[in-house]
Amino acid sequence: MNKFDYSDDSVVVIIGSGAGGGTLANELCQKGVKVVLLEAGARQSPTTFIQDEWKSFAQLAWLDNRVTSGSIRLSKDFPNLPAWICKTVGGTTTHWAGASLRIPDWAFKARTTYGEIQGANLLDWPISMADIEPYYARAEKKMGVTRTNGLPGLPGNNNFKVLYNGATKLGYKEVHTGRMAINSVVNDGRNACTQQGFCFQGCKMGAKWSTLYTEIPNAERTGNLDLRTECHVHKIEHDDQGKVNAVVYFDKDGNEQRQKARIVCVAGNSIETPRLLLLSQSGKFKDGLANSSGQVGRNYMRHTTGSVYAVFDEPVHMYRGTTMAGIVQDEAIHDPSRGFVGGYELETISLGLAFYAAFLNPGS
Amino acid sequence: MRQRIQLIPSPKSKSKSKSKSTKMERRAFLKGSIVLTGVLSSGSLLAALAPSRAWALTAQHLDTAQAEALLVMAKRLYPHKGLADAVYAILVKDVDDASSDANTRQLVVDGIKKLNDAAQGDWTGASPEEQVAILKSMENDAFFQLVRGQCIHSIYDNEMAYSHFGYEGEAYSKGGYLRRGFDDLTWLPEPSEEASPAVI
Repeated sequence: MNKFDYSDDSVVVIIGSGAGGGTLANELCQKGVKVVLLEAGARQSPTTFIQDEWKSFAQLAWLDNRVTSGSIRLSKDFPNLPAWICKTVGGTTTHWAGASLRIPDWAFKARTTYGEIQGANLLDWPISMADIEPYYARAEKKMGVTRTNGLPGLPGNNNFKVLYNGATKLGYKEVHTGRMAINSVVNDGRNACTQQGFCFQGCKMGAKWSTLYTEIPNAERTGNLDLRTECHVHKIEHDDQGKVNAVVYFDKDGNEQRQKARIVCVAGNSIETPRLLLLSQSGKFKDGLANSSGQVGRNYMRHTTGSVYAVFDEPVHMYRGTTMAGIVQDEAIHDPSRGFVGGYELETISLGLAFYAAFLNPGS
Repeated sequence: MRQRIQLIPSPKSKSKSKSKSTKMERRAFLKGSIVLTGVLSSGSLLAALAPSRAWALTAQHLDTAQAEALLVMAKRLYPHKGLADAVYAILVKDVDDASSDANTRQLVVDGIKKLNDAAQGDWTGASPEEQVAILKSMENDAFFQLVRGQCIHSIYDNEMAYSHFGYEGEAYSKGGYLRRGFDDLTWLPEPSEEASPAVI
C-alpha cells in the first residue's frame, strides 16, 4: 500500500535513491515536504550484502542492456555494460569506494584554464568554488569524511604500505590514506571500519557512507517519505504549459503506474538521467526534457583508468582491508608542460581473484 | 560455493578408458556419467580442504573424450604451475551445463572436432606447443570465445582457486582484517603517522 495516492499532486517525486536522490529526499522530508522516492532497484542492507564479487555484482549492479561504441576500449570489451553503476536502494553509494575528493578551483573554469581543445566541449562554470564550498563542507560533515572535521584518517593496510614506499621513493609528497567517507571511528551512529575489503560489494559494517542506511532511514522517520522500490520510471509527463506534472513507471509487478507530482527530480546517475529526459520527449519538447541547449546526453565524463599491477617477492595480501587503500595527489594539478591539461589522482585499489581475472586485461 | 566437483570417499585409480560397449555408454551418458577423475596431490592446500583427495566429475551432455579435450584446452589457455586439474575440471562442468542448450552443445562438439582435426585426430595426445599453436589459430572462433569467457569465471571464481592463489575470500564472518593482519607486512618501512594514522 503506497503512503501517498497516485493522484496526490502535492508530492515531490524523486527518481533515484542514490547520493543525490536519497539526500534530497531526506532534506525535503525534514522540512515537512511529502516525497515519493522511486527506486528501480530492490532494497538491500548490510545483512544482505554478499562478499563475493560476481554474486554481489548480480545483486547491486545496473544490468539493463546499455550500449557503447566508438574507439573507447570499453566498446570492445564490454559493449553492453559500459559503466558499473547500481540499481538498488542507495544507488551507487552502496558500491562506491568512498573517495571524497573536491574538484580543484581551476576546474570550475575549464575553458579559461585549458584554453581551446580540439574536439572537446569546454565551458567555464557559472559558479566558483566559493559558491560551492559551503555545500562541500556540509556534505563532508554528513558523510563523515576522514581527515576532515577532526575525524582521523584511516590506518594504512599492506597495499597502502606498498604504494607509500614506492611513491615516496619517487619523491611524491602527497601520499596518504585519503579523504574517505568511511568511518575511522564510530561516527553518526555507525560502526568504524574493520578493514574487511569488499567495499565495492556493499559495506557490511555500515562504516562506508551510503544513503541506504543514513539519509533514507532518517527520511522514513519523519513520516513524509514514500519509498517505492523496484519501480522503474520510463517517462516524465507535463501539462499544456510545459510544467512537469506526473511520472509513469513500471511497478514491481510490472504494472504501469502514473504518479502525479508538483515537482520532479531526476537523480538516476550519469547515464539514466539523460536517458530518461530524452525518453520523455513530447510534441512540445521534441528533443526531450530540460534540453533547449541540446546538451542532454552529451559531455559524458567518467573515470578514465590506466591500471598497473605488480608482483613482489614477499606477500602483500592486498585484499586485506579497504579496497581503495590510499592515494597520491601530487599529479592532480594543471601543468600543461606535461603535454595535457588537468591532472590525475593515483589511487591504489585491490580486486579479488575473480575480478582480477576478468578485468586485469579484459579479452585476454 | 561454486565447487561442483564431487569428492568421492575412496581413492580411485585415474581412469581414462572409454566405456566398453555402446549400449552401456549411452545409458550411462543419459543418466549423467563420470567423465573425469583425479587425485589431489598429497601436499597441496586443496587436499587439506577436501574430504578426500580423490575427485570425479559427472557430465550430462559431454562424454569422456570431450571432457578431456576441454580440460586440456583450459590448461593451455590459462596455464598455472601446480593448479590442480580439479580446478580446471570446473570449466568442463560449466561448459557441460551450458551444453544443455542444443546450439551451444553443437558449437562445443564442432569445436572439439576441429581441435582433433587440427591435431591429426589426437588433440589430447599432441604436444603442448602444438596445442597452443592450434588454439592460437582458432582465436576468433565462437567456440574459442565461449570457452575462454567461461574460463575466466570457472577457473578463478571458486574456493579451490582462492586457496591456490592465496586469496582469502569473504571476511565478514571472521571480523575483517583489523585484528587479523590487514597491515602485517614487515618487509617495507612503516609509513609516516600522517600518511597512515594508527588504529584507534
